Amino acid sequence: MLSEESFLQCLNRHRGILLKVSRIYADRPEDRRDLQQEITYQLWKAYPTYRGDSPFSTWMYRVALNTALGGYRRRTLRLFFPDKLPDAPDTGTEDPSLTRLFAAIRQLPRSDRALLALYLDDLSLSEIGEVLGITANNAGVKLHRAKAKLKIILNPPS
Amino acid sequence: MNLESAKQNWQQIDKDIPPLLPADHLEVRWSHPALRALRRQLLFEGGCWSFFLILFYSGLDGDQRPWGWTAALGLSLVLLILHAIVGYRLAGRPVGAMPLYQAMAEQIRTIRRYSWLSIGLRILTLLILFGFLLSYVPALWNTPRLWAIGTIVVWTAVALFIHYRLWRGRINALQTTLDELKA
Repeated sequence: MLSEESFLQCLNRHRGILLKVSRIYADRPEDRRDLQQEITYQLWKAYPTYRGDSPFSTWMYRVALNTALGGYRRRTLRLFFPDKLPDAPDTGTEDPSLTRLFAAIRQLPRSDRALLALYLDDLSLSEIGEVLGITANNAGVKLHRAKAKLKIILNPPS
Repeated sequence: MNLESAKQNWQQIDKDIPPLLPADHLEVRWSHPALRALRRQLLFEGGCWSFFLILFYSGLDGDQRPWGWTAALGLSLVLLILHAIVGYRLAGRPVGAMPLYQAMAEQIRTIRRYSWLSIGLRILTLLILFGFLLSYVPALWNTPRLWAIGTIVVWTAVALFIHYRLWRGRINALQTTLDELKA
């Protein structure tokens, strides 16, 4: 029986996905909160179609990325040089290396951000391909390029 | 920072953050910020158009204008309100759990259809509105009146062009991400 309670339990178990996706696709804390609410709304709408044939986290990533990347109404001013601005953590106690990681990922193209989020959460290439709708081989090639770009941003040549 | 430590930091997030959804906030959480804003806009637009129609009939002798134009104007306003409702439904439609590539391709198709509907409907409504206003203007072809009409037409064309650019920008942004996935 699909109920609000079971949905809440699943959502709370994987609540980190909400935060991660909103951090890599929205620049400002208020936009992140809005995006988290949109994703939650979309997850609730899609929940009756969840059959359990893939892990809930993989399914949740699919809905979250579809929401973040498929949105077309920009509600706030676009930041043209976000890498030049200090990143605002959602909580005051965030590990600075994590803040740096989010800021680095946000400098990459939108599809690379999705790839890296899935990679950092330890999904296999076939799972990444399944979420993104591309082959595992293609996912591997793209991931290799995205990781190289991320390494350069995190460790700029002096 | 190497990628292995980045991975550890990333996965640590799940353990560090507090539960997001206490049960007493369910009602609030199931709403959607973009939809709330659109609902307000929809009510405002609907109210403005209804007010315009009432004002037009009661204060501006609308009932004495040619009935064909009056009917067309009423119809176009109804179409504008329907258009806003379709936009609202589009913004709130479930994105589903399809793989990202297919979901984005579908989203682009849907938005492209809606953008043509939106632009077409605005052009149609404005043409009807102009036709309606001009249908009752005496000595229409006087030079000062023609200048005024010309100015309105040019400004309207600029507004429509901006509307077109807005939709093209939205679709191009989605298409860029889709192309990145395909490359």
